Amino acid sequence: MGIEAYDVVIIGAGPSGIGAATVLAEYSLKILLIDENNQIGGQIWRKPAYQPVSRFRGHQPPTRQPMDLSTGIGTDKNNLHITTPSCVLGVFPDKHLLLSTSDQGVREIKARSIIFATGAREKVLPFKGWTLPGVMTLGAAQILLKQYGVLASSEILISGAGPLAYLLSSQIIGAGGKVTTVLDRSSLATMLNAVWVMAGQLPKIGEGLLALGRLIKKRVSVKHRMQVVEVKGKDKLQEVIAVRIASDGTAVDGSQQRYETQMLACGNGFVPNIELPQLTGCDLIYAVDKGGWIVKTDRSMETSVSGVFAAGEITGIAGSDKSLIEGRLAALSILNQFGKLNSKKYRIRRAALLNKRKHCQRFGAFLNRQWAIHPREWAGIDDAAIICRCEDITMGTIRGWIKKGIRSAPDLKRATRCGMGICQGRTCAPLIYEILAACSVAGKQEPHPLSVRTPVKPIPLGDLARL
Amino acid sequence: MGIIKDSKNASGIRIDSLQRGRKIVFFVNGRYTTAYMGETIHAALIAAGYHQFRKSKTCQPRGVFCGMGVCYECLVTVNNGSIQRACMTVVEEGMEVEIDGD
Repeated sequence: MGIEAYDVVIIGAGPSGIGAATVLAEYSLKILLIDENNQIGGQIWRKPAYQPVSRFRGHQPPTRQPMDLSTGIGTDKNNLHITTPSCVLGVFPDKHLLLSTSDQGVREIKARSIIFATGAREKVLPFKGWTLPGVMTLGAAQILLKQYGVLASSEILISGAGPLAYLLSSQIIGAGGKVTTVLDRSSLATMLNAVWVMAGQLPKIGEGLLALGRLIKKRVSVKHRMQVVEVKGKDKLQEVIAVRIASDGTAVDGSQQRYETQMLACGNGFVPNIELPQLTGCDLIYAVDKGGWIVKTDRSMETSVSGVFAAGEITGIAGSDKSLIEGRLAALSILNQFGKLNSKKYRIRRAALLNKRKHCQRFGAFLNRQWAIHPREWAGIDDAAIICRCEDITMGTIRGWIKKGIRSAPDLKRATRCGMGICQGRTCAPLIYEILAACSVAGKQEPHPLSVRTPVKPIPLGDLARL
Repeated sequence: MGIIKDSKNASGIRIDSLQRGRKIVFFVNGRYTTAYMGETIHAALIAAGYHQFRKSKTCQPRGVFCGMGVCYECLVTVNNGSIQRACMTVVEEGMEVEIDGD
């Protein structure tokens, strides 16, 4: 069977992927937009699951499904092929890809150019008991509500920092649910500072005020600088224990609070999904202020691998506005490389987008500072807290190996199986990098990312055998 | 805004301000459970009051954590064979879902 060829393959259909696709679709190029979810839109443009069946089920891929107009950016261009829910299992430097689709199994495709728009996932600072059912990420609680109209419990405790904690609280209240308390890691001063940072971005300020208004109206108690340190329950969450964290990362004496709740939604920021670009051989950079390991790109969004581009959260966490801009940037660069956009026009449009991106990056830097966790907190995680949820590896085990001299994540993985489970280290790897940095005594350590291998997501062996 | 309780001991709640697909029936460990077309298994299970989906390597209870296909904590057995992420799999009429924590 011949290998299907595309001019551009875009992996991830969130703001950056859709931004790129809508620019490229105006030209006579064969484009494939891939997403693992049933719907396009990514995490931020999620919409209610109930859609006319042909729209959200990917049973006819990769054929001419119209891009859904409810994201606000629609197209009926028939050179744009969308396949969902589909998963890219591997990408190779010669721009061949292994694609797994629900109806056609695994097959190989190839591209002249690739855009990685793989987005981000949530990060949670581990605490004792965080694996109990009833503890979920802010994003998980939001997806249940936004996409499926399900409140995980009649009363929900929220813990975290940044806009998502407040946005989620406001959405829960708006849907008729009850938020018992918001435990905000950041200080009140940081929150006021946010208004200054967002100056010029009126819609964001408006959203923030609406959320705060709802919290005040419902008399939801907001506690600043609080962090959950332990949760208890038999088979299911029952009790949450939180302490006040001083600016030096230590717990304030006598600040301990107990809350009875069946549902805790928590989050400490986001981590870029760099596994596929890493597998392709793209250079990475470790930048704590941008979310950890990010993909290195130049001004045209091209990675260190020629013809392979990265856009959105994987080049630094900064929210959907930056993602949309970078998706468009990557698309313009490809058009220029393909000779479909002359260099003069390209440079003018690129300069305008880069200028807009600066403001978003300022907002991103602020967010990442707000999410920053003091090394003392990483180093102080309870010995009984599980770090690798797949393999049930505790902080105590990891601490023991660090004391024995282990200094890198790959070595820790070999010693403990931490990061070797079914999620392939997606949940614990970002935690391990920070724990190693915080616990290491012998000065500054150069972090090494865990290696990534094809297939990047588990699939039945039979699917590969039919390839 | 009103809320709908699917059964009297369910702790998950479906809000009524969201348009839903047709009501369907599926099975959780052989038990009749209702869901709506378009819902994922995890949404339907949480709405029906199920929180523990599987047991970990050391037999600890686990349920929905990331809700977006990253963490694999919500793995369930579907139709007596394949193991799927409940948060990424759409529930279907008559589907048999096995969870390890009931």
